[in-house]
This record gives sequence, structure tokens and C-alpha cells, in this order.
Amino acid sequence: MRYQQYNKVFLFLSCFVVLIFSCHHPRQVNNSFYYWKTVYKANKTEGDYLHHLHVHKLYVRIMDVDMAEDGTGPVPVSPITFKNKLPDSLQIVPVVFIVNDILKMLTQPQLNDLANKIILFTTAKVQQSGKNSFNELQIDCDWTATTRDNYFYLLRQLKSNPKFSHKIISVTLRLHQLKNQKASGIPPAGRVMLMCYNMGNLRKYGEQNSILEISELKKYLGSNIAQYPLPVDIGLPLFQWAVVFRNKEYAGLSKRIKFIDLMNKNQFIFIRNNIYKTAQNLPEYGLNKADEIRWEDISMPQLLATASYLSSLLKTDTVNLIYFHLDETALKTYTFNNLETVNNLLH
Amino acid sequence: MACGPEPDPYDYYISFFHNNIQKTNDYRPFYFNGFLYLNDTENPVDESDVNAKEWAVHLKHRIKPFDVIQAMYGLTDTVESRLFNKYLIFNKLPDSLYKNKFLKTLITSSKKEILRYYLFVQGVEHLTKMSDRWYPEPRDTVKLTQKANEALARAKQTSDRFLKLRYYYNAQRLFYFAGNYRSGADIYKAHIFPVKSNSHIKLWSLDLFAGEQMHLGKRALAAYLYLKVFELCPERRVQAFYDYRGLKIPEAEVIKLTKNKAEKATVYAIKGFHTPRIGLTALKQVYQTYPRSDMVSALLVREINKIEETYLTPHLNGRNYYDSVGYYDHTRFDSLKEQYIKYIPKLQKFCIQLAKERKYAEPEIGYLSAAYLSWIQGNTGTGFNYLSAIKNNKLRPKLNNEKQLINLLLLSQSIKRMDKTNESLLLPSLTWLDKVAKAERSIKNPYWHSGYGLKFYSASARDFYAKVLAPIYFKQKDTVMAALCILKSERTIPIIERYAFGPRLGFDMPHFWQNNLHSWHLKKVLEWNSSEQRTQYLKLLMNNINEPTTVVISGVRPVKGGGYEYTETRHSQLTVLQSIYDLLGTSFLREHNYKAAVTAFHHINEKNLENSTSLEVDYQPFKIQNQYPDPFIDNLHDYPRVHSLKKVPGYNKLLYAETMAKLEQQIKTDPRQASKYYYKMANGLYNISYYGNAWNYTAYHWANNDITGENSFYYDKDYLQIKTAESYFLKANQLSDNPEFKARCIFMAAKCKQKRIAYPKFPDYTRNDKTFNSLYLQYDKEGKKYRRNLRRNPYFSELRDHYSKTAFYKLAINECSYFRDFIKGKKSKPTHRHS
Repeated sequence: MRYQQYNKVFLFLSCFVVLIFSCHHPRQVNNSFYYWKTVYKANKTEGDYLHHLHVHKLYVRIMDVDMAEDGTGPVPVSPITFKNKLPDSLQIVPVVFIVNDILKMLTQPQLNDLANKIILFTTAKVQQSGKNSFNELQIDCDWTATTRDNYFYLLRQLKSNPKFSHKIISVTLRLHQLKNQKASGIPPAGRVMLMCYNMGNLRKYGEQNSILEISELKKYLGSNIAQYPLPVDIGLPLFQWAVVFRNKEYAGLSKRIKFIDLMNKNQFIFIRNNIYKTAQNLPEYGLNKADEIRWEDISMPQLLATASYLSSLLKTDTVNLIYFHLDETALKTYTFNNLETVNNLLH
Repeated sequence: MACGPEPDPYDYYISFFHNNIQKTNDYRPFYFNGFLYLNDTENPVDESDVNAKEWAVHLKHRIKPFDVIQAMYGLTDTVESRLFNKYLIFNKLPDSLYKNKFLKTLITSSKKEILRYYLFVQGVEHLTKMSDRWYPEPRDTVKLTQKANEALARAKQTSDRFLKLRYYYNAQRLFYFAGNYRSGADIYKAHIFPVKSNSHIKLWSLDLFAGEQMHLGKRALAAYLYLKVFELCPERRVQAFYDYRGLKIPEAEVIKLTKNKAEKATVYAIKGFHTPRIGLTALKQVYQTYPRSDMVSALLVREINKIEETYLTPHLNGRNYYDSVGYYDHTRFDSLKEQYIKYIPKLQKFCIQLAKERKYAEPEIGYLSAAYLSWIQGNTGTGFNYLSAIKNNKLRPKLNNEKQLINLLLLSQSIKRMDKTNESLLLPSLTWLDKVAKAERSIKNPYWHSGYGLKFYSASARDFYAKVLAPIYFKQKDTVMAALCILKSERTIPIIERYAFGPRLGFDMPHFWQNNLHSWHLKKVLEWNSSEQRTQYLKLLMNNINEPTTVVISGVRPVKGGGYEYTETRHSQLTVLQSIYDLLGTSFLREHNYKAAVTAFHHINEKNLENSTSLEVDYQPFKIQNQYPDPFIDNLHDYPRVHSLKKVPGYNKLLYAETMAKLEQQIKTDPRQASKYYYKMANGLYNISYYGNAWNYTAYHWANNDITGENSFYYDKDYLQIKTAESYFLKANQLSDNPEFKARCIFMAAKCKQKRIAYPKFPDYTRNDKTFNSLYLQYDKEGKKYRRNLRRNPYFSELRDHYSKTAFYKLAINECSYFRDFIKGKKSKPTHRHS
């Protein structure tokens, strides 16, 4: 495995962690995961990770909300279906992703309507998951200065609904929203989840890692987390993907490629670092000959260094750490011990 | 305006070759549009219309299609439930549906089978719930399967072929929603495919069959079947396009499955409809495979529109076009331009081939396109030759109009110098253009934006006058005629009143008129407007001058498919002519000819005059009041602005001009007090400058970056540089004996002088961080120099040397930090840039 090269660094970091934190008043770290697939199915490996990391809360994506193809109004896109019930040991936090663009064109009556629909739809989906109720609803939206007012109005509408008066509305917070608080505003929410991922330029040709780069993270964070006026949960990435470039222009993400596939020398030629080139047309992956693939993932040292950096910035006694996302293939790259070390760093 | 509207996706590039030139609108969703994935997401035909027409035919036209649409697609849940549970059982209809002949037929006809069918399909609709995506429950597959079997049984029982096909279709559909793709596919193969019928139900069933094959893993076959749906079924064409593309099956695999040339051509055409960049491959493949296909001209027009978007528009607009539209990165315009210059002759060669081979049903499109491409390339003679090749052909109206438009473009290109002869040469074509553009005014445009969206001839008229005709006049330095072309262009569709400005004179006039016309230009326009001897050409060019300037929109309501509808009302009391008088008076103010300004402003009624300079203030919701800026305010500071709810002296441009004219007179008649008059005039001039309390007496727009000097207008000497005001303050100083007053005059002159100290321009963002950093460092350096220069105002030493004993001197030290720093000789903090 390519991670072997990091073993020495990892061992060193682990010892370092133990030394540093042995004389430090521990902070409580609560682990949880996002479930971002469209069908919920119980999976043993995934269940083992939840068990080992003492996870009691699962953030389940309920739907995306986007404009209908005919432009008549917002509609749920790819809502989740439940093949199995969620285990009793897990609370559900439903998450609704709202496409930012739709907020531009909605009027206040339309936003009122949308809030009601989200509540009804989410409540029904939570019941389909086998749960009677939920304490927290999370809204995920990459809101901008132009959509801010409508987005905040929608959040207030959700909160003002009698069914939601005792529930927490949390929202995702992207790095630019943390940094540019003046333009982005502070959302009317109970807490925020800071997404420490998807920070680089995915579409730019090059060797960068668009999922996570600490140098990039540092540009945004600094004292911004501690000074943020709402409680901040932390989201860290546990996923990987293949970014495809055709004639040096971004062509998309190929979800069917796994890292192991890139080792097939008949199909892919290793160029340098994280860059590969297709040796032939590969219609099964939607690739043409000479397409370039940038493999992006999160190495353990990268994850640890991020946790260590974040730890120095957090001032609270408790940290809620949410990994994106719960998926067997993505998780297998990390051992239980790996993820426990992340916790230790944050303690 | 800083926050302009977003570009209209249906009017963001210059197009004289209209994308709707085809005989039908069958391929409208696939017209070229660089802003939208599909030009239109609505199908060319509505499925409910198709179904309703089939029912009308089946019932021997005793009913209208509308009745079927109402009964099958238009009932609310409450009405539907009352209908099913109460009325139909007793063969009755509620009052609201009493006139519906379809429902009436159901209850009165002896054929109760139709009523049974109707009840069945309406009854299963909620199970599929396609219409309400907010319905959170998963589909009830048990019920769906039960109903599918029921439909199957009913299909077998009935002897009515019309109903039998529909029952089978419903059985297939219900199995599909239940996820039982095999049973659905079996029904199609056994009971629907073999039936000889022209009903579109067969095509909808084919569409389901394609989906079933996809779910059963036969993806290439599914792609081929979606292709058939795309080809044969206009009411499902858009979705079939998405479905076909979504499968991502290599072209060669689908081609292997095609059974005839038309199908093969459709494979190539779909590829062409999905290609956003120029290229002849798909077009040539379709033409070579099946030259009769309507998709040939659809693809050809796409290529021409791409040339218009990426080559013609920047060419006519200058390179700044993409900056203003904010379109995606076109910084590589030079290389693109080369690419297009090479591409246009290749496309033209194809057009001529299409025209000469006559394999396509309308070969004239080939000649028209070739002529238009000649115009784009500047080959006027060749263009005329192509047009003359079809001069005797009888063309349908749209093609004939296109011919007229291309002829007008070529005629204009052939003109070296515009004179009376050439004007008469253009007159017939321009008269025609006016007529077709005006005819479009009655079209209710569902798109918000500027209103040009789908008004093709209006947009072409607008672009012709501004981008083709005006430049000819500019070239021969005929500013007035160029200005008239620009006005004609902008008034093709009356401007929607801008909310921010309200009905304000001059504010809605073209930018060029507001900033570049001197009084003599405007006087010429007015002279021509009242002359009886105007040529027909001039009359046409000026025919909107006596029209209302703006329209007010109200009753805005969203329409299905996006966009809005609204009601337009004209402001009859505000005509363009009144605005021209306002511009004339204002240009006299800029030229310091106050008496002439008074005469010009007398042509405008008092209310309009007042509105042109007062500011609407919304003190509390729904109570908007006028505020008046004082153009003679005597303040040491520019801010805060002094706007009063009371009508101050000089509260409109006429009163201001009268006051200035009077002061000018008083300087001569009462020389002892001349210093006082000069001071007031200087203040009047300062206040109507960019920095002053009443800037809107001189200009029609104000923006932060005006001072960067990127736009330089003839009135900048006073508006931005305040030179005359400064000289008047100095004259007032010279003519006075009062040291306090003299000190104040020098301070005010220092204020004027300060405005001429160049403020560094913030560097434009560059993608290269290093370059940007060095530009920023340079900006920072210049900023320091700027602040140093502010402290070194030459009038400060005069104040210190001659007026340090005055009370005003102490006041000035208190009020002006730069002066204070000058006196103390220390650095000032970089705070506010205005004194």
C-alpha cells in the first residue's frame, strides 16, 4: 500500500501526541459520521467502525433540494430510501442539502412553503429510518452574499415551526463563510459544522489535493474558529476520488475508479506523484485514451497534522467530530487505531 | 449601475441569423445557448395535448380536447375526490364541471367502459405520484403490482381496441413503478409492440420499454430505444435526450443497432446538439446520412449562432464585451478569433454544398447562411451574389425576413460614406425592420430581463442601429447622426422604468447622449425635430422622440417554465423630447451658458424638472418623500450631504441656472460686492461637481471609480477637476478686503486643488499572485505619495503665511486633518480621502 511510506512519520507523530497530551486536561471528543448514500443498508464493516469509535449519532443525508427541471419550484432530488432500520444505538440527524442557486429566485411565500415541505418530508423520512423523532436537523448549503438573506429567512422559518421549537437547527459552514463573516453573515442557527474539506480548486489542472491541504486550511482558520459566535463542530474528510482531465481541462469525477484500478498497468500509466494517464480508451470508466487522472485521497499523516492544527485552535471542552463519510471502501484505508489517534490529538 | 441585471440567456449575444428560422419548433430545446444546458426544457409538444386529441378523435369530435385535459390533468384533489365518491356514482356532475363534455359523455354514453377506464386511471395516479416529488413515502409496490395485474385483466376483457391499448400501457407503467421491469417489458413485447396503431401511447410505451431495458442491464439497447423516442415523440424529446445522453453508450455501439438512415442521422444529431463548441463533424454526418432531415438546418443554425456568440459579438462590441457580460473565461479571445477565422469559410463551403445539391428540403437556407457568413467576413460582393441566387425563389415568411435582414447588413457594409443617396438606399429596408420590430410589441414576453429575449427582430433592430449603422457615422465624425442611431437602438422597445431612479428626466437616455453631446449637437436634434423638411430617413430615425420615455411594469406574476409576465403602462407625460431639453439645459450648465440653460429648462414642466434632481427617500414603508439637494450650500466638508425636505433656493436645475445667470449679471452691475457673487458662483460650481452636494445637476450617474479617469468626458474640467470653481474662489479672495472671508476663499480653493491630486487606481486582479502582489505594492507606494501630496497642498502655505491670525485659520486647523498635519509637519493617517 502507498501508505507504508508514511509509517515512520505516523509512528513519530503518535509518540509525540502521547507525550504532549499526557499532561493536558482532556477535552471530550464525540465522533460521528455522515451517511451520504441514497439507499441506507446496514453494513457490518461500517457498523464495526461506529461501534469502535463509540458513535451515537449518524448524520443522514435526506435529500438534495434543487429546482425542478421545468423551473416550477424546488423539489427533492435523490431522496434516501431505507432498506434497513437504523440501529437503536444510533440517533439520527437528518441533513438536507440545498442547492444555493435556487435561493436566488425564491420569494418569501415560496420560502415559507419550502420550509414546511422540508419539515414534512424530513419527518416522514426519519420515521422510515425507524426513529420516532430527532433532536437536530442540519441544513447544508453553500450560501453566498447574494443568497444570504433568503437562506437565513428559510432557517428562521424552519425554527419558527411549532414542530421544531425544541429542535436544534444546525448548518454547515464552509471555510470562506468562516473567514468572510461580514459578507456571509452569521446564520440564525443553533450550531455550525465547519467543513474542513473540499477547499482546493477541483477543476484546476495540476497536482494539488482539492479535498484537503493544510496550507489552504491555514489561510482561512486562524482565530476565526474560537471567535465564531456559534458552537463549531468539525467535519473531516475520509474519502477519495479520481479527478479526470481531458486536454488539461477538467472533465469530471470518475466514481467508478478505485485506487487499486490505477495499478493495472495495461490500463493506466503512472506519471508522477498522484497523476496517472489512461493507456487506452476505457469506456467502463467513461475515459478516453490519454485522459489524465488525479487521484486525491487523505493520507493518515495529513489527517493527523490537520487534527493537530485544529486542536490548537479549539477553545471548547467538547468537540464534535464528524467524518465525511461512512463508506466501507473509503473507511478500509484507515484502521480503528488511526482514527482513535485523531481523537487523541484533539483531546 | 454597480449591480446591473444578469444577462438574459435569450439575448446575450448579437444575432442577426435567428435561431427560430426552421419551419417548425421541433428542435427548439436544442438551439444553441451558451448560458443554458438546453435552450428550453419544455418539449415542443405537450403530452396532455396529444392524449386529449386522441380522445377527441376517438369520441368522433363530440368533445373538445380541452375537456379531456381538464378532466384528466386539471382537477384538484378535492374536486377529484368529490367527483369519484359522489357524483359519477350517481351519473351526475358538479356545477364546476357541468360544461365538460368529456365527463358528460362518460355518464351519458351507453359505453360504460370508458367511465370505468377513466375511474381506473385516475384512481391509480396517486400510486405513481410523479407529479408530487415532495411526497415522502416510498412507492407502494404491493398496491402497484395489484393494480398492474388489474389493468392487465381489464385489457384482456375489453374488446375496445382504443381502451385495450391504454390498459396495457397502464399495466406496463404500473409494473415499471413497482420495479417489476421484466413483466413490464413482456407486456410491451406481447401486447403493445405488435399492435398496428398510430397512437402515441405506443411511443410512450416504447419509452418505458427503454427504461426497462436499462434496468435489465441492456444499456446499449436502451440507448437505441431512447433514440427512437427522441426521433418520433416530440412530447418526450427532452427527457429522451437526457436519458440517451445519461447512458453514455459509445456512438459506434448505437449505430450498430440502428435500422435506417434516419435513425443513424439522429445519433449524429444528438451528438451535435450536445456540442457547445464549433465543429462540422456532426452536421456533415447528418447531412451525408440523411440529407432530408430537419436536423440539418437545426445543426447549421447552431453553428452560425456559435460564430455570432464567440466571434461576431466581440468583433462588433470590442473586446470589452465579455467583461460586461461576465461570460466564462474568454481571455484567450485572440486564439479563439484565429480559430473562428479559419472555421467560417469551412462552414460556408458546406452551406454552398447544401444549397447546390438541393438534397435538403429548403436549399435556400444554404444560400442565406452563405450570404450571412460573407457579411461576417466582410465579403460584401460575394454575399450579394449568394442572395441573388435566390432572388426569384418564393420563400416562406421567416426565410424572406432573414433575406431582408441580410440584405440590409450587406447594403450597410457596401456604403463607404453615408450621404442622402445612401440613406435613401437603406430606407426601404429600415422601414421594413421598423415594421417587423413593432409587430413584436404585442408579444407577451414571459422573460423578465430587458424584454428583448424572444423578440428577435427587435433585438436585431437594436443591434443594427447601435453596432452597424452608428459606427458608420462615427467613422465620418457625424456625432449627431450617430447619436440618433444610438437613441433609435435603445428605444426599439421602450425602457422599463428603473425602480431606483423613478421617472427622472435624462436618466434613462443613452449613456452617449448623457455624456458626450454638447449643446450644439442637441440643438441640431431639436431643430431637425421641428423641421418640416426632414427627409423620410431622418423621420424614421427620429420617430421615437415624441414617444414616452419609459414604461412602468406592474402585476408581475411568475409563469410556468420560469420567468414572469407583467403589465406595461406608459408614462404619457414624460417624452424623450423632454429628456432632450433636460440634456440641452444640462449641457449649457456644463458650458457655463446659464441664460441659454434657462431657456432650455423652460421647455420642461415644473414637476418633471423637480423630479429630475430631487431624491426619493423612503422614510417609512410606503411613505416616500422628495428631498432636495442644496446646490449653493457653503460647507467646509463634503459630507454629510445636505438634503432637505423643504424646497431650498435653486432646488431645481432651472432655478439654479437662473440664480447663476443673475449672479453673473450682478458681478457686472454691482462690482463692489463682486467677491460675494464670485464666492456664491464658485460654491454653485463646486456643489454640482462630482464631490459636491448636488452632483446630479451635472451628471446622470455617479460611481466610486469615476475619479480614476477611465471615462473622460468633456465636462470633467469642472465636474472632476473643479477648475472654474477654484478660479472663482481665488477671484473672490482677490476682490475682498475681509481677511476672514479671504481665508475661507483660500481654504475652498485648496479643497478644489485637492481633488486634482491623482488617487492611485486599485490594480485589476490578475491570476498570477506574484504579478498581483507587485502591482499591489506599487499601488500602496502611490497611495503613500498621494497622502503626502494631500499634505503639501500649495494653498496651505498661503493660509499659514497670510491668514494665521484669523479665526477661520483656527477653525480650518480643527476641521481639516491634512491642513493640521501640514502645519505640524507630521504624517497624516490615511483616513477619509475627502476633506
